[in-house]
Amino acid sequence: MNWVLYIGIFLASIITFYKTKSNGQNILLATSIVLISILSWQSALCVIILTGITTLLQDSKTKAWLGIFLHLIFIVYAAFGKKELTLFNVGLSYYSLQNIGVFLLCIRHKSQKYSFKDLLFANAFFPKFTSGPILLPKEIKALEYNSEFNSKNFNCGINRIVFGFFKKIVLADNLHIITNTVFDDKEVGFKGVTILLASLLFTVEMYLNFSAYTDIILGFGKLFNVNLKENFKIPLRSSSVSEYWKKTHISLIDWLTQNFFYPISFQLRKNPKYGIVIGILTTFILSGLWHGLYAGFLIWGLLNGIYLSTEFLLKKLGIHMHKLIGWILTILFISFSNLFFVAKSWENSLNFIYQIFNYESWSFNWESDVFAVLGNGWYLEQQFELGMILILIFLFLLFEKALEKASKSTNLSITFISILTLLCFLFGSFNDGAEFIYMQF
Amino acid sequence: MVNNKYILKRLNSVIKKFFKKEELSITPSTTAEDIEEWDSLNHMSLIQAIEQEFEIEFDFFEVMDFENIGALIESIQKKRNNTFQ
Repeated sequence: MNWVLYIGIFLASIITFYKTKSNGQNILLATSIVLISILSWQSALCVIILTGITTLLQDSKTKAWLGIFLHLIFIVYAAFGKKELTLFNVGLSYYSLQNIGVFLLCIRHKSQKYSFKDLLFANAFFPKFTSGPILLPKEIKALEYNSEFNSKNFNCGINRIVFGFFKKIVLADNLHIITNTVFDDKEVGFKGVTILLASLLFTVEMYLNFSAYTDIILGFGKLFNVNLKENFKIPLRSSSVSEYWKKTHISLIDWLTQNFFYPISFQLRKNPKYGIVIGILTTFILSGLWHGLYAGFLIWGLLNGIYLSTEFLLKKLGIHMHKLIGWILTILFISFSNLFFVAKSWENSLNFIYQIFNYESWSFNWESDVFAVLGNGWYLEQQFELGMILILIFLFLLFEKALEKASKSTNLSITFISILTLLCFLFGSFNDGAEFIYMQF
Repeated sequence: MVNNKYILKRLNSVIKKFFKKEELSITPSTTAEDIEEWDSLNHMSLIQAIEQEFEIEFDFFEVMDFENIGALIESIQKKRNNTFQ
């Protein structure tokens, strides 16, 4: 019954935060450490140790290199160590990037003076601990809390949390049932068209899943008057790959841009095209490997780097695309690269490629090879429900701008909240318990 | 002393030429966000074009700290004055 305990601690924390005169930051830190400890005490200890190391080693270049080295030891061990010995890894890939950002700033610029408490707040604040957003050093400095109750922030927080749960339970988790049929058993030779359609749906699912998480944690932040960084800006409407990457997992891309892309393209600016292409490829290969040391992630990163470089070079040649064609190509390219993201391993990647480019795989029957597979069998009831979900997702994407605006409103809208809650009870996928995709990284 | 207005005028023509947009007009308070085409991909190429125009060289963290065109002009002015002294 951990959920009851989590909710109890959260309520106690919010009351103490607003109703007592104790230091708000201390309350948030204590709550965060307690909540993380319940999840995994090893991870709580790890974030305290690595934050301590960052505080101690941020004031000289040699020390900062040592700090990065120590962080890398933890990261590599978490990736390759035995499962029972790596229980400290929750949130590590997110907050260690924040710490490494501070070290890199010290190495390239000047010594830094972050206090242990400010760093720990940025690293362990409980809503963002498991999956970011990743903050840049200047954003760590600007991260504020305010223990004076602000009804506007509180309302906005509630709206966003409800919106996030709706996106996750109704849209993403139900979509997961469809994509999972194809991607769970990667050895089964599904038809090329089925795999490609599933990859399109997976692109939507991944966005809904991760942006739902972002809505929920930004909502929780708002309940404590903490403004966390946005991670998405409606990316599925992008008419180019570069636009897509300006609107997806913004905090990770910003971190890589500041720490790798800008320094590389600045160093090589005398030969700008070359500098930018090298910068893009490095950034996206690192982005792929950040998700895990698997061939699939590497190919995923490399493909996105190639798309972006090609698009950049075409633009330089004065070739521009019509917005609609640009949108179709962007979604197709991104979905194709996401196949490798799902595949993870080299064998699975090869299997997908074989099925897609295999001539025989393209003689298929729409009913038995596509609809029956994606619809999880031929049970009418199930088909009807999945059909409804696809219609809901389509409507959601169509009216996303307006819905997102409503979720960021500072007024509590009873209609908005009741409709979304009702939809959660009607269509919500409660039993499946699909996790937040980005918690595994 | 190099005049600020003169720098702004030359900077404006570099930016127009770089983005191939004659209608662009900048002021000291203009930021990268105000110009649609000015994104992270071409940021450093634009810096290089500005360096070439004014025959100066920026430091990486100077570039990262420019908040708007005004700060860029100030930095160019300082560098130009140092060159002429």
